[in-house]
Amino acid sequence: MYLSELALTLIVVLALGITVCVPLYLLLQLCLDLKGKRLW
Amino acid sequence: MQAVQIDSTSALLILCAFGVAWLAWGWYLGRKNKTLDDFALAGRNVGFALATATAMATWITSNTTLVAPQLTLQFGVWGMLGYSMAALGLLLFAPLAERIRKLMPHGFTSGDFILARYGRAAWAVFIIISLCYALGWLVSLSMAGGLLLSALSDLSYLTGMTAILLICVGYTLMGGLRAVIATDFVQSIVIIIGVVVIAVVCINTVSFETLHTELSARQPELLNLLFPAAIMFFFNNVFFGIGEIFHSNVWWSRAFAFAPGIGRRSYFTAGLLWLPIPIVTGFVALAAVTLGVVPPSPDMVGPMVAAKLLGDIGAVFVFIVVFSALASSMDSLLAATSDLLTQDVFRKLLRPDSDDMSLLKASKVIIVLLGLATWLISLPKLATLGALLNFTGAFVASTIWPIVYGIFDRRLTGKWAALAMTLGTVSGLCGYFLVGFYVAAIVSCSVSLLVCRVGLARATTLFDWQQLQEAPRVLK
Repeated sequence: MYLSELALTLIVVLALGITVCVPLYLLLQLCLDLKGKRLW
Repeated sequence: MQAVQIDSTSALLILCAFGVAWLAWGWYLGRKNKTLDDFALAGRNVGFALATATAMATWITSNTTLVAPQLTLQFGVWGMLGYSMAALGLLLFAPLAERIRKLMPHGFTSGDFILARYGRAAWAVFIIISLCYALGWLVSLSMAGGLLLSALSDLSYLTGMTAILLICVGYTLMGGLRAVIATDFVQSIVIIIGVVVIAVVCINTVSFETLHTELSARQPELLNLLFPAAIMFFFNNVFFGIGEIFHSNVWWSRAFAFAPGIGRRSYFTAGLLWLPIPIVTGFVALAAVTLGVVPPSPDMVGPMVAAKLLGDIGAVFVFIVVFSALASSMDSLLAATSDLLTQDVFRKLLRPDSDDMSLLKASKVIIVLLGLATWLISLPKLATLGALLNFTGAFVASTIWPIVYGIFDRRLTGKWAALAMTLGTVSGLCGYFLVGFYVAAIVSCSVSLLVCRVGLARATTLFDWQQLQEAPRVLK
């Protein structure tokens, strides 16, 4: 039983999509913490 | 075909630029450190953004950028999916982090908890396991530094390994956990941008169609969903990842450092954000066949494919990404292991009457000594990164159940916890040598669970949680 091309594409594209959002999410949270003076 | 290498002058320039930047920032952040709490635990009030980033960046190690592709090359799709299962460690540690912070508001290390909860025997076994693992991880990181530089530039293994250790020891020494957490934030952004760019270029250069066709024709086992050793690796890595996080002071010190109410949210979010990263880094190894990249050792497949895909600029790019991944873990490990040695060896065993200032001084000396010990052990390249890392699986997986029961169940006693960790480790090592590295953690964890269950069934006393409120304490 072998992984199909479609399944491989879906797994990688989904992982890549989530990973792209990570820096944006972290920077947004950093701004919120800075604004609320909750950084440290 | 060989990957592109950068010349030694450019490599040294990059190292110097990063070194100066991190050291200056470490010094700047370190100016606020007045007490041991400031230096070791960043004042115990770290907010959500920095907490999430540091948990994630620390878990993105050189192993995520070097070993995930290596395992994909060895086990195919199960390799990258199995590695991503290490995220379960972060996800499952979330509720523990919250409870640890509540149970031990004055705690410093995982050793503090084990000593207060289980007593001396279990503490001794736990400290040996923790220190073996910490040193193994540190050595694997410094070896990765040397391997990276020697593969991507004209610099030698020794120069690369020494430079990365010097930089990390330097800024950890100057800024303590505050510097570690702040640099982790920047490093996590750099790493993620890097791995995304490499993956996108990989997909554009070698399409999914070509990649799948080439693999099906030349190495079909990498796409085989019923590859027995790979399936075993997948489950083994779940327990290995959980064991690594549950026992290691790297994660406990963060649980103590995060502001009240932050631990659960930040660890859970970090786990979710980390989950897809090994798939993105591991996937590029599948392109090695199509691109004709033959790495000198399996753990170099990721950087070599990336350097091959991105050319001259790519080698610099890959260098920076892997350097950041290495530094983000090495600094955390240096800080957490130094805390463990300061609190659990120096304070509990050698100088029970030490005040905060002596402990702060000892902590700094220990960071330097730890860096020196790591350098000496890393001089000869003892094993591949994967082999070294997986060897420790037998040790860390044995601690999962004693920690879980220790935090949530009052019945388990120190005698049974010590026995669970000892028998778990021994049986895990038997599995490692008799079957393979991919069963060590499963065997260790299962035997440890069995012993804990027997201990619970035979329990006659209940632990008083109040005792943890007074921890840390010293050995009498």
